[in-house]
Amino acid sequence: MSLESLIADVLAVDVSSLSNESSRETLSEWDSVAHLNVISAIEETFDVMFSSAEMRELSSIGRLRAALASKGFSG
Amino acid sequence: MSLLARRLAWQRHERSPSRSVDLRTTILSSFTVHPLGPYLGAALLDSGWQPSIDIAPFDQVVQSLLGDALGDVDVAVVWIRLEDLWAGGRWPLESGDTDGASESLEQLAGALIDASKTLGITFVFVLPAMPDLVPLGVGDAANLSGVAATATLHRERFRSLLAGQPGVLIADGEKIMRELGSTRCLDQRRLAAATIPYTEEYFASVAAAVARLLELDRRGAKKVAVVDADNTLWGGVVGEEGASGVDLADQGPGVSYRQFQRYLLQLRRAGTIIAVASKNNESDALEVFDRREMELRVSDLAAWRINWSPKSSNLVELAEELNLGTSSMVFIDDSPLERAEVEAAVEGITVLEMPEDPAGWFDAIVRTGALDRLPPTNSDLGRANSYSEESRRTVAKRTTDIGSFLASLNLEVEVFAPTGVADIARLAQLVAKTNQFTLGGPRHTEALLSSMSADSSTLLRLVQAKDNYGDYGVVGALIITGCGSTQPRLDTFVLSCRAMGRGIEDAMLVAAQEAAQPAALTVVFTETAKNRPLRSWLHGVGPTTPDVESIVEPRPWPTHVNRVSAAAP
Repeated sequence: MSLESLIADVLAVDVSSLSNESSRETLSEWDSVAHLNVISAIEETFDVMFSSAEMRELSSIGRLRAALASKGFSG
Repeated sequence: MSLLARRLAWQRHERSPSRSVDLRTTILSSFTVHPLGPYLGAALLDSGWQPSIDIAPFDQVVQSLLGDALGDVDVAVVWIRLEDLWAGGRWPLESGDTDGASESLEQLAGALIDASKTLGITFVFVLPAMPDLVPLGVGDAANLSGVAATATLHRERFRSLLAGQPGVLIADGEKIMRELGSTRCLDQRRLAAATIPYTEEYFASVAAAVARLLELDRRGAKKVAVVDADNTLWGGVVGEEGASGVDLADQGPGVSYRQFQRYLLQLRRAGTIIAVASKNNESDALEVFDRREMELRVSDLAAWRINWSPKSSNLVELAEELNLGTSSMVFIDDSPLERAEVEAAVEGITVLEMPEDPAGWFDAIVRTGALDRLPPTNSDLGRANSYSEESRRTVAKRTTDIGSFLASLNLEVEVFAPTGVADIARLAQLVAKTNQFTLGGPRHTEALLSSMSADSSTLLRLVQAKDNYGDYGVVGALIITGCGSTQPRLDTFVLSCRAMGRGIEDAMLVAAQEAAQPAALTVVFTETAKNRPLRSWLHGVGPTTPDVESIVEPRPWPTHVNRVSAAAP
């Protein structure tokens, strides 16, 4: 599953509306509760663990993708 | 289904525009409890409800219990952490460190009991898990004021206050954490990032326990455990090995069969009916029950079918004999073939999957929760005689608890006449907006109220109140018509729902009666869809029949309410 389609599922938005620049700032659906849902969904799907700092900072698809890449995933 | 798939399935359901709701659920917590929502929603959905899930404001448990947030709710889950309860003081080390927390605990439990009585909703209290932060480590065990000792004390205090209260169920967060292991339940990263102390897995398990409790409470437990005999109650086949040959030894598999029997006996004590369905010659199987090592006796069985007919038809017969539906039965059999036959042919029956090794049976059965029960009542225990005395004691105890809780509020009530436009506007607003605590009669408009205030035979009063939880402001209003006549009547009597259940209503009634003197005050109430709180309170002070004029007997000012006189103008 691609990162975009996973996040689209969690936020219940159309996947075509998402881009690398999509973030908590650009999407009203991506509020603080949804953010933890996004983080948990990624952790479970890709079997990774984010640090508490990453949990706060990884608030855009671009940043999440970069963090996943640094943990050995590309998507 | 993965936890993520479960969450997403609930989200999709929640967004579906056509969904209906028959179980409105709110979660109150001292931490960010949002992750519980999807699992609880999904679990309640699995149990056949159409739930809605709301989350009360963060860390405002007592305020929410005392406020009006729960007015339209069927179920409220209350989940606090001991860590949060202790947060205002010092971490337990010396005696006195958690005195403040003990007070908060009493207030929280009192508010919960109070709300359950006033609102008539079902509460599920999550008895908090033991904290993991134990600075003394192994040394904590010998500290009477330490973490474990204090946590145990507080957990048991919650349990003793809440267990057995009508409308209050208890889920044990510690039991669930013990089953999963605390490292699988606690997540310091999420706590730091978002005040979410727990893992998804723990939230999912707590949700399952809450849903199971609601099922037991609202639908009842399974009534009958129907068990096979050969290789279920004992090892081996009695038809081949004879009654003396089957395994009931006190070492090896025999131990497990006997442990299973003891478990059945314990269920029987709590009210579960035990029946046997076995393919055997009846006399062969019954002979085994005479063996000294058997824990279960024939007299413990409510019924049995021991013959060569298909198990499914025997189970249907047993249901008829016991006058129960097959859906209230749980079937336990070592044979996968028999289980499949029964599952396919008997409607609604619960068939438990059993591991091959009888040593694993007890765990397997207990973990399904299929035979779980709420604590037995006295009638379940067959002790009808002691019931009335016990219930009298319980009632007396509750009254004391509520009384001391109310006294601890330091409630101040002031009843005053509206003096200006702003007062009349507030009165009109209260009359217009109050739905739960109102007589249900016509709602007077501001214009009408204004003219009523100029009429000497009509008395208008506003009520303001404050207590230790805060200043409620002007929360109540009452109107008496026919003052000075022989039949003064309580025309309007409204109290904001966030102020209900503390005795303000009792004080208001006394104020109304005083105003009506020397004549007796009469009242008429009407049933509306929402004014059940008013009606149940009013029944307590006399009038029980709607739409009929009743006299309210004089009552004393409630002792826990400090009466404040209006400041001189």
